[in-house]
Amino acid sequence: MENILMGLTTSLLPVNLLAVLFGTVLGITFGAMPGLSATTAIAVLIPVSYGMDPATGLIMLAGTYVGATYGGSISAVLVNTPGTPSAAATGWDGHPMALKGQATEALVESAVASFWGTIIGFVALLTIAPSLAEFSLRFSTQENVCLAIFGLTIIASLSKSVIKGLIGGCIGLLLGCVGMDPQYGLARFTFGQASLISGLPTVPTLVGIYAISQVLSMVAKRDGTVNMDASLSLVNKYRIKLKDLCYYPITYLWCGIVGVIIGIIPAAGGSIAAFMGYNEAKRISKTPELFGTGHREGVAGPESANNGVIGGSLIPMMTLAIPGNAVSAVLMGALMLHGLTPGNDLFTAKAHITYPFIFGILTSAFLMVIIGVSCAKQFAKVNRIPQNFLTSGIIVLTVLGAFSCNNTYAEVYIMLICGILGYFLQRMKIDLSAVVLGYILGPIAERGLVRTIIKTGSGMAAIESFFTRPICIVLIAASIISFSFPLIKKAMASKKAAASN
Amino acid sequence: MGLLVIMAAFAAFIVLTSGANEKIRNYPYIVCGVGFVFTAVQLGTTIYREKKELAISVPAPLTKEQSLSVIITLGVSFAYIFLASIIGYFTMTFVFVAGYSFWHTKTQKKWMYIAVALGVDIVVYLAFKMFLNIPLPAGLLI
Repeated sequence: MENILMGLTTSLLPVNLLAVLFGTVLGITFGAMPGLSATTAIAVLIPVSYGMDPATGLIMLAGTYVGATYGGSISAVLVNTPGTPSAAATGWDGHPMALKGQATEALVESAVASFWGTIIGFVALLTIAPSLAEFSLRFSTQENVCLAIFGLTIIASLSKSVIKGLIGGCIGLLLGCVGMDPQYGLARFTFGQASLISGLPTVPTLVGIYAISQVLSMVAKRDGTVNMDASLSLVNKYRIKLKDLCYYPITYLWCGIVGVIIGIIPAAGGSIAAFMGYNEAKRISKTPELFGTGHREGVAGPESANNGVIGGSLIPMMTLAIPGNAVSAVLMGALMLHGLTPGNDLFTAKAHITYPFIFGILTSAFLMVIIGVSCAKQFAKVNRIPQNFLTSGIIVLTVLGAFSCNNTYAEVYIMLICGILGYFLQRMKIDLSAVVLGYILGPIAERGLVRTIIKTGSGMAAIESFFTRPICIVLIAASIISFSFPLIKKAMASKKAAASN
Repeated sequence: MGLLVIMAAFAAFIVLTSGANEKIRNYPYIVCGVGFVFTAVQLGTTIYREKKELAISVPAPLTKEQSLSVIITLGVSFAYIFLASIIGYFTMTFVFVAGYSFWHTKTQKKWMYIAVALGVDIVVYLAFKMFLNIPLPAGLLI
């Protein structure tokens, strides 16, 4: 309770309010531009946060995350082009609403639903994370190995192509092998470069994989920007009523919970949550037949679900060091840059930074709904920024971000090389989240495995020890299910197709 | 083609692993081996599907102009970082933003490229150097 009060009061300090306002506005701006996402926004803002007090810097990043997740819906509603992948489902009813002359209602609904989704995610994060972090103290090396394996098997179930997901995971694991091995301190794959001895640096690697690859994609599609000027005329005059602030309470609550659950699952992310949120909203709706025709509830479902992901994705990241999605992976890099290590320490020794960060999500939700309801139209205009200035600006800021991690140019080069890798893999349709998950979980799995073997004396004894621990058994069972489920599903689908033919 | 590159990369890392200390070889061997097998399976599936004329998920090939844009962007970025370490961050940022933006789209008025490049420099200086006190890269010039 003491931490909660401290978190609340710290997040309400003028400097922190200013930081969260800046983060939220910038997040909405990035989110509203198709092609840019919350990940890019946070990657660009990391160097800015570096110069700030850790709590203030992280609060700003929390604001960016919340703002960008909502911002994606603006272009989805106005031009049926989602600003972020997680806003794709919002356009299914949001854009038809705009075409019917109800663009403002759709934009208001998306802001309000995003607000409630964020609040549900915040409550989940605040209540579940500290207990889970405490529970993680029971984890020994065996549990850490099983947890990492479980995280990796999730890749298979979530990628469009199981094999491609696994290839991505292996590439990530290989990236995690670079540098000193976690047990003996002997160097691997360093190619004689001193800058690689401590491994690939987290922030430059993630910024390269996500932001630079995105910039290269934008450059390849020169006409990637979306002009919304014509669609701005769709924004009608609408007087907001008190009822608008909670039009579909059950939908917000249920879809928010769905978002939280999806967020907790590693690599699932906002898009899956939004699609599930849409389906759930339709399922519980009294008027499901109206979905797809420009129904307000069709905006509420996906928006509250994709914002519920915010809190959900931070739970495994902050407690078990397993990022729920790409944004939380980059946020984890930011935490580490500020000297914070995921785990129980975050909620005890570093509580003075962690709780204000969590409450930053809450304050950002309030700011987002105010800004979203009043200025959505203005944010749509950001798409007028020419792409050439946008790409060069992003490159300048990411270079600065990578440099400021350790004040060396080596990390900037690493970032660019990871960007090339990310772009190549993106072109190969290999899920970048799988690569990042492998990169983050690889060293955890290796460290745990080697220590278990040393502790138990042999490889066989180590394997045996996994089956004598209840948490390990549960995690192994979960891993088997998550790995085999998509394969069985695929086999059944092809059998069905063959039978119908 | 891409899958062959990935397979070759895994194979190269298997060879590199054999040069590492014995104590730390097992894990990279497993990772590279498994990665190699998965890539081979994917390659086999793609070839099979191509032969059977079944649908395969292949990205649309880049046009010559698109490839050139990507290569130039990367080349310019590497040059920007290299020269920034010698000449100076602010000078090179100005040159990079103005030059790259001009090359990318020549449709805007020329003074706009200069103004935006100058604006980026000023914002970075004020925000990062003055306000946030972040150590910025230094060179011969500023």
